[in-house]
Amino acid sequence: MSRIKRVFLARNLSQDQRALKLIARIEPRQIMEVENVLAANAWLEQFPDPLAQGKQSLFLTEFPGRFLEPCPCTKGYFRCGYWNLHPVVGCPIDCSYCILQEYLNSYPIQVYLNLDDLFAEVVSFRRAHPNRRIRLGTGELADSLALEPELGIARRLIAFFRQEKNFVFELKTKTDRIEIFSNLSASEKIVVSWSVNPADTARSEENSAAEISARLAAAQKLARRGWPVGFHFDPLLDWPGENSYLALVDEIFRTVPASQIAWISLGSLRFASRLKPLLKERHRGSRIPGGELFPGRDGKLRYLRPLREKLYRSLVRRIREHNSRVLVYLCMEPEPMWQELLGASPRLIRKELALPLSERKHFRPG
Amino acid sequence: MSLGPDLQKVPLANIIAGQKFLMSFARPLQPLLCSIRQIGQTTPLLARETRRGPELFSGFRRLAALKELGKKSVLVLTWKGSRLSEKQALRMAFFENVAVRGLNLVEQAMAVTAFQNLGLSKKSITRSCFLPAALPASAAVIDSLAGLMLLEHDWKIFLVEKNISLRHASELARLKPEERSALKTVLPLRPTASQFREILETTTEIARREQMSVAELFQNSELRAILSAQGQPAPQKLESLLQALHKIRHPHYVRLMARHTRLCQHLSIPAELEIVPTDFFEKPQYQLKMALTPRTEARKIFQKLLTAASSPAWKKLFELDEQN
Repeated sequence: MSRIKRVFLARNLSQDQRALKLIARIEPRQIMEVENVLAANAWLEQFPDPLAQGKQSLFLTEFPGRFLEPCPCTKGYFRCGYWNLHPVVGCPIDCSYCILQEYLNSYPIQVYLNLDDLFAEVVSFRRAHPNRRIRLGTGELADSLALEPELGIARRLIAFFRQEKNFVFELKTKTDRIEIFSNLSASEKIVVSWSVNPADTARSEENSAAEISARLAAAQKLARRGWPVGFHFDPLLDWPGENSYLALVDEIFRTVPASQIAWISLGSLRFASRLKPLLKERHRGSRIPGGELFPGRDGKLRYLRPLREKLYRSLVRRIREHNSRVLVYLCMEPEPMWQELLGASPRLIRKELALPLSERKHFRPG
Repeated sequence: MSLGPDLQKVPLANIIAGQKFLMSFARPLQPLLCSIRQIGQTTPLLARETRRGPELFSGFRRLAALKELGKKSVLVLTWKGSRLSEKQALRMAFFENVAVRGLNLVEQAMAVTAFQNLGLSKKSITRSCFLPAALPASAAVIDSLAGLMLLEHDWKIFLVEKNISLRHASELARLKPEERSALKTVLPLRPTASQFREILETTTEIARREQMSVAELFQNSELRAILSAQGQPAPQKLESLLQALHKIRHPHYVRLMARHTRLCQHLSIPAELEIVPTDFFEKPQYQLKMALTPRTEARKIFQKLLTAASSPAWKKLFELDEQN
């Protein structure tokens, strides 16, 4: 059964065939035509937790702006060179630490129907920059697979990017929804990746995400069928303890052949301080507000640098013990830390991240 | 027959003043007593006629003042019950009170409860009462306000007196009674609103992290010693309590700072200099602060600094592994 209870439809698209087909596929309990997303927001505010209701609601509309944007990373820290593509904005999974709770201006998940414009924009970008290699994905402002196969967006993106030369395209998820891959042959330009945390922590802080064992089983299935996979230890939290994370690294390498691992990222918890009251209110069992967090260079709250470094160092060491050529990178950390902990030039890492495994010179675990 | 309300002089004893419409809390009666004593009752009470007599819906404080002054009869503007439903009367009382004196947090909570008792939905309370009265409202706010009614009387008084925000008041209301009871031990120290917010936030965050209750946290021997110390003035006790909570809340930071202080002592740098970590150790760099006076012997100070910079302790300053 679909997670989606209701669909808000932009009034100007009330007769739009794409919208009507999607609605027929989702079979929501409620369909409402609204002028814009603000009207949908206002409707959802009748509930004590409009964010929770929004996670069970879609707003179908068209996006008039740019779909493809460089990841802004954060002020004062090193960029990994990622690009965001956002045909969907919002996520049905309710992680306690999710910054989207305070970052987005809409409660419902916004689904943009003008995918043809998205494809045209990517083609035009490639024509304008024929020599540029880009790593991009749909998992920054959404979970790339949580609403598949209902939305059918990931399937179209896969079909598109497997034909494109200059891109490595990532689908990032916390689910085990890999049904859409069952009839597809693997492509080294498409990486499916999972955000991971130790099982207990995932269970308590990643509400309605798949169990870690299910995520790893899904990764194993795809890796065995030749798909490159990735893992994001992000956000690393302070209380599961180093050993839990090391055990998770071991589990990953037991489950998935290292040769199929396109990358592993490490990033510790960080969020804007304005998220904290919301987090306390919405996730009353969460241990995150009790973390020892201090404002960083960008003003976001994070754990103390020595603690982050210590955990990163242990994780990198353990990953390297399993395979010294798996590409590891840091998320939203300063350049000297990349250099010191990863033992390679941050720019080289960034460059290889944007290449399929077979084209890499240094980080090719096979 | 009059269709509107009638202005009547009614024996005070006949007035029915139940809890149904009451939205007055922690308001001093003294100014009203003074005014009525000087110029009499100038504003009538508002009531709706019922079979049992006039039921008061607005003017509870005026009634209390008139009673205290020993008045036998009072001016009442009375509506026929058939012309003014309970919901209408409550809405009228709400807007009258908002306009005349405003509603403190507990009074807002009382209003919400009163509306809910008469069957109004959150949506109606939000849209037809709170928002038109320019009070912040949403379903979440209505829920939070209703939750405040669970608070014990002393806490309600404290919230109003210190003008505590709804967010913090709700956080307090979400605690178990025994947790609030533990937290109440800090009230005799007379914390300001911001000190109380700090105590509330710090204790609840520690409790979350350690997966214990706030009551269990207050069993901490250091906190107990501070709170039970005899003969120490309240402001000092409060300062000690805040420091102790800070230590429990930020153990790694406190350890890093202690290590830093220790290393700086090893360096034997001159008293005029201070080495200060930047941004909670986020950057691997320090600031050097120097106090200058006309008598400062800069050459000597810098020579001592150069000596310090070549010592092992100096190097250790930059090796911030938490285990060091």
